[in-house]
Amino acid sequence: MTSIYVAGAALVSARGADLAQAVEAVRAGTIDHGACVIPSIDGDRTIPYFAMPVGDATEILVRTCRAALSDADLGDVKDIALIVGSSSLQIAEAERDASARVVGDMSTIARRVKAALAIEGCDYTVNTACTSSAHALLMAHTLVRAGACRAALVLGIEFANLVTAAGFQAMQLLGTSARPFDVARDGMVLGEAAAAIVLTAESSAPAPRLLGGANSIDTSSPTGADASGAAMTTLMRRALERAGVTTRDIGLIKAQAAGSRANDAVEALALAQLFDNVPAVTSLKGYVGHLLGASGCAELALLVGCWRAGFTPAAAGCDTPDPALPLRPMDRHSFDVPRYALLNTVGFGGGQAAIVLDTAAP
Amino acid sequence: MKIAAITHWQGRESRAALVQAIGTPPRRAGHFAELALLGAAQCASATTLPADTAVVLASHRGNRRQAEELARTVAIERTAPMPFAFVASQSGGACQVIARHLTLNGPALCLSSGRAPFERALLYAAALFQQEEAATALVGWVEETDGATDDISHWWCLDRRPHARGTRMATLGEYDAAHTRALIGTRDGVLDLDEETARAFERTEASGELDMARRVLAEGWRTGRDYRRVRAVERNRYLLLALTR
Repeated sequence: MTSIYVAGAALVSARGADLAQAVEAVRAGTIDHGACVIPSIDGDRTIPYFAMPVGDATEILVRTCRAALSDADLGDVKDIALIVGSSSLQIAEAERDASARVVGDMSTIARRVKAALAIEGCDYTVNTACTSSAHALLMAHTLVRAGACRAALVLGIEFANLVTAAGFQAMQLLGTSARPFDVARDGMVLGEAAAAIVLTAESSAPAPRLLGGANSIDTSSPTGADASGAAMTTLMRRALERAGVTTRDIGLIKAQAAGSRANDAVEALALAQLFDNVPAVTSLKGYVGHLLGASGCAELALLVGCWRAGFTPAAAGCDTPDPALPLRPMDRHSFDVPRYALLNTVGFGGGQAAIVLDTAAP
Repeated sequence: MKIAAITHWQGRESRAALVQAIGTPPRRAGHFAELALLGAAQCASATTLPADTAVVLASHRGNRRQAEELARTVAIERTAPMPFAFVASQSGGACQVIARHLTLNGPALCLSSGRAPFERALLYAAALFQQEEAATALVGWVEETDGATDDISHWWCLDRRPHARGTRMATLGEYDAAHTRALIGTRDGVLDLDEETARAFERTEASGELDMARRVLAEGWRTGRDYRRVRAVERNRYLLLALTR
C-alpha cells in the first residue's frame, strides 16, 4: 500500500500568524477570543468570534500555502494538485460588493492561488459545508495514492462573513463560549482560518502518514447527527478498516466536538459504541473556534505542529466534563505522542469524515 | 469501468419535472438541490444501486443564486436570514438530499474544477474505483440558470463491478498534446471538442458545453457510436474521454 505523508503544514488562525505561534499559544493554554456584530432577528447582536490577524485574503492564502510547501521541501511545485476546501468560498467578498454579487465561480480561489504559486497541476474545490477541507484531504489522499499526482496541496479556508455567523445564529446554534464536552456547553463559537497541508507519496524526512479514512452521508437531518450514533460509528469503522488498523491501535481521538449539546453527546455515544475502552480524547475548537469548512485542515495542521513540539494538546474549554457523556476529555497536555490517531469531522448536510493518522511516533 | 446510464435534463421548469419524476419534492431543499435530485433520480431509476454508491456532484457555480440572496439579506438589508435558507445555501447539501431519496450512505461530495468540473469529477470517481473506495458512483453536473441559459442536471451512473453492463469507458485521463492529437486523429464515432482544444488543434468542430451534453445522448449514447471528448484543462494538458459500445 502506498504511504501518503503529511509532509507540510501551515496555519493562520486566531492563535497567530503562523503555525509556530499557534502551537506556542496552545501549549500555553490560550483560549481567549474576540467578538463580532451580526444582524439577528431581534436587531444587531454581538457574538463571540475567533478572528485571525487582519490582512488581505489572497495574500494570507498564498502565504499559508508557501509556508506549507516550504515545510514540505517539495522543490518544484509546477505539477502538484491543489485542492481547496471551503464552506463560504467568496461570500465575504460578496458582502463587500454593493450588489452582493459573487465574483467568479466555485474555482475562483483555486485559480488565484494557482496563478500566484505557478501551479499547473489539476485543481479541485470541495464545498461540503463544515467537512469541506476534511473531504479535500481524503480526496487528495485518494488522488495521490491512485497516481493522479505526486503531491497535493490541500487548502482549508474560512474567512469571517456575516452570512455564516447570522445563519448559525438564526439556527440558535451559537454559544457564549467554546466549551466542547463541558457540562455547561451551550453551542459553538465560530472562527476563521487559512490552513494548508501538503500530502506526498514520498518523504525524505520523518512525517506523519495519512493511512486512510472515510466520508459518508448521514441522512437523518440537514443540521444534526443521527441521534443513535449509528451513522458516526459506521463512518469510524469504515475509516479504521480502510486504514488497516483496529480500535485497539488508536491512541487518540481528535473529536469533532463543536460544543453543541446534542451533537457532542452523539459523538461521545458513537465512540463508546465503537471502542471497548474509549482512548484519549482531545478537541481543538476551544483554541481556535469552529472553523467550519477549514476545520479539517486547520485541526490537522495544529495537531501536527503540536506533535512536532512533543505534545498532544488537552481538550480546550472543557473545565467540567459532562458526567452524562461516556468519555473523559484530556484535561492536560500529554507528552506522549500516540502512534495512531483518529480525527473526526461532522457538518451540515449530513457530511461526515474520519481520518486515520500514523504519527510515526516510536 | 462501465457507464450504466446517462441522463440529461435541461430546461426552466425543474420543479414540475421533479414532481413528475419522484412525486412530492423534499421540503425546504432549495432549487439547486432539487435540480440535482431531479437528474440523479432519473439516472438512478435506470439501474439498481447499492447503498454505498458514491455521489459526486460537479458544478461551475454551485448554489450561487441562494448565496447571493443571503448576502443581500444579511449584509445589505442587515436582516437575519431564515434558518433553512441558510442551510439550503450550501451546495454540498444537495448530496444529502440525493442520498436520502435514494437511500445511499456512501462517500458524497460537491466539487468544482476549473474549466471541466464534470470531467474532473469522473476522474475522481475513477480514482475512488481504483482505490476500491467505491464500486458504483453517481456523477453529476448541475448548473442553475444564469438568466441566459437553461438549468442543467446531467448525470452518469458508473459501475466497476464484475457483472456491470453498459458502455465501456476506454480512455479517461489528462494527457499532453501528443496523446491528445492521436485521440483526435481517430476517424470513427462522435468527436466532441471544446473551443480551446479545437483552436489548439486547428479543428472546426468545437461544441459548447450544452451541445456536449446533448450530443452524448443524441449521437454517442443512443446511436451506439463510439464517442470521444476532449477538454483543455491546463496549459498543454487535455482531459480525454473515449467511450466504446
